[in-house]
Amino acid sequence: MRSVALPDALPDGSRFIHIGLPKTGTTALQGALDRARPRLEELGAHNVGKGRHEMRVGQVAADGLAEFWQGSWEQRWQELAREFRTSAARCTFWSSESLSHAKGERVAYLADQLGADTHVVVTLRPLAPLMVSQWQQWLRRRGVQSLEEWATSQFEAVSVEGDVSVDYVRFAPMLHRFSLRRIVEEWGPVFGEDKIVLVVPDARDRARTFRVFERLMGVPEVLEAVPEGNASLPYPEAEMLRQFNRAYTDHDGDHATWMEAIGVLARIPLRDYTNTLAPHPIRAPRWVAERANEYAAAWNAVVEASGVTVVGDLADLLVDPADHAEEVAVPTAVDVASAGRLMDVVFTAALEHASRTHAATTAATPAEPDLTTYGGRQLLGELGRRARRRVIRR
Amino acid sequence: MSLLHVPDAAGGMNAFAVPTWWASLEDDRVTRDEDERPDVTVVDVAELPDDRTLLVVGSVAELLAEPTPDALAAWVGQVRAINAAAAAPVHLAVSLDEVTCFEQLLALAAGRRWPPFDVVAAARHTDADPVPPPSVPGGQDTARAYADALVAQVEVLLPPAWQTATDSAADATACISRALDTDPDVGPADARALRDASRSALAALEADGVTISGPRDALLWPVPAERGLVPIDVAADAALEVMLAVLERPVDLAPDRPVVVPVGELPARALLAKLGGRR
Repeated sequence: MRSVALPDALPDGSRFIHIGLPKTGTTALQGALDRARPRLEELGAHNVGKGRHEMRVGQVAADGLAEFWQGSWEQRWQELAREFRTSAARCTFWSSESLSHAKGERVAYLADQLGADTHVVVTLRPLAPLMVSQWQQWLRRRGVQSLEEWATSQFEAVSVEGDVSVDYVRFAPMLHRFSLRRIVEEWGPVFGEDKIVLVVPDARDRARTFRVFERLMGVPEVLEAVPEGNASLPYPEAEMLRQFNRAYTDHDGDHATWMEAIGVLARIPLRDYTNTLAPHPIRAPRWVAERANEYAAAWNAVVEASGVTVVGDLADLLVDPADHAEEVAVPTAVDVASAGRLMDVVFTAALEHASRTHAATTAATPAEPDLTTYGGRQLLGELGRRARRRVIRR
Repeated sequence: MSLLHVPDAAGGMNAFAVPTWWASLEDDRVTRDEDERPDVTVVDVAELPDDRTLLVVGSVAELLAEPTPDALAAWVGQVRAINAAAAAPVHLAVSLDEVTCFEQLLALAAGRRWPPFDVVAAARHTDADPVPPPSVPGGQDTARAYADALVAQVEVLLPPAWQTATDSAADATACISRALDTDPDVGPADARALRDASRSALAALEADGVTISGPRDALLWPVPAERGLVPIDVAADAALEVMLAVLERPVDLAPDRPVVVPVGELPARALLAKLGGRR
């Protein structure tokens, strides 16, 4: 392992991918990279991704796109890969935490598509709080287990030694996907351990990750924090979402409807709703912190024995269990106005979903529009507006 | 052709099913066999996939003789007895509105909600065409907070899209309202126990093969908000019902709800034809 406080700039003509991990400040980093895009281009650093994050494209690349998604992301992925491997920029990069879904042969496929000399950058976070964030993310995918139930199932699915005891086809258990052992063992032989850069966060300096990426790209300090709008649900509201998922599942609700209504249509309203709530951070109970430390320590040992570059101190990936309460009370009540607003989000999303479904099923036979509600003056006004628009266009 | 078996009104169930109501339908599909089943009316229904026995119920408070677990158990026993003795499995249709017409009865028997609801029109209402908050009975701050969160109060015209959106908002508000509108004689702890018991009762009925449709949250005993806080499971049940109330409605337009397209989206030839008086 090569340990550095800050990395050197990658050689001219280098390319790197940032593969997450999820919930390690990727949204903030991608927002900063997107905002600084023009300046980065001037400085020779080319971002092949559009916008903040092309999540579905990353999922296609990593073979991690859930089946219920329909879209033309494969074509975009091919375009992006071509641009990435043929870019003549001094430094070319792409950030998508979805890439960390890739496993086994898919990692080799990525090397084939993007170039085997690509550097792989991985941002990290202590496992205990990372698990809490992942649990919250899982609730946004219709999860029904409590935090402790979910953590128990995660620890049971993957041993500290890395043995996976559950069957899966596409989506690896969280402790396998996030395992530094797996990243070293699966990504190292393909891209080369010397091409892998692990970035340990500095809890006292949240902008330090920006500095790391600037150094890698060989640019001055151009990355600045942008408003994320990516706050976590407070514990009562997280529990309310979980109980909602439980009630939906008890009702034999289908997954595709939930995903479109709540996972997609309610995503932005849920985010906006979250941003207005009083924070109520969720802390893992002590036993979860202790178990998470066991995994983190084992992974660190693999990293130390490898040839990867570590930016920062691996020890910072462990937490002090004493900072975690023995027992964490699960909220059983929620503020009435907050409950009402969640219902508003659900109501609106369901209405939109039903409307879309109806539109899709009746698209072949559109109904005759009704004009009886419009008066002559209204119709004349509309025709006048259209005539003016046509004149202006000419 | 399937048979719909409708037991006569009893114990707060099938309150509509009395001889005069059936007679008022004057429909050949409705028959009774006074010798074999003198307490059941049978309806020939083409739309049903299988024979079923229909029990239409309102809210749980209307079904129980008193707000106690024993009364709840007695009601469950009554449904089970009907299910065991019936010629076809029982379908429990929750309806907070009185059954007034044959079409409504068939919709409930098919597990659909009533009345029909134009989701497309409801979804079309915009910020420029907002829906006023529905009125909230009693002094329920929670329900009012919900209504305030749902819509903004502005004087507007009343096109059909607005009306359907108003209907859906009223339904949604009624849902949270009834979840919290508990019997003042039942304390919070007893209300919670009754809610848990009614949840278990519904699960037990379903395990027996009884199917349930409509706003099933109405069959869960309401629980009061305390100190501005509402139990999370109650909030979740209400949120689910708000969602299902939209998703489970028939999407067909009601006869009095024409398709209204925003004037800006209409083709010019349609506007000219209307101005020329050809519509």
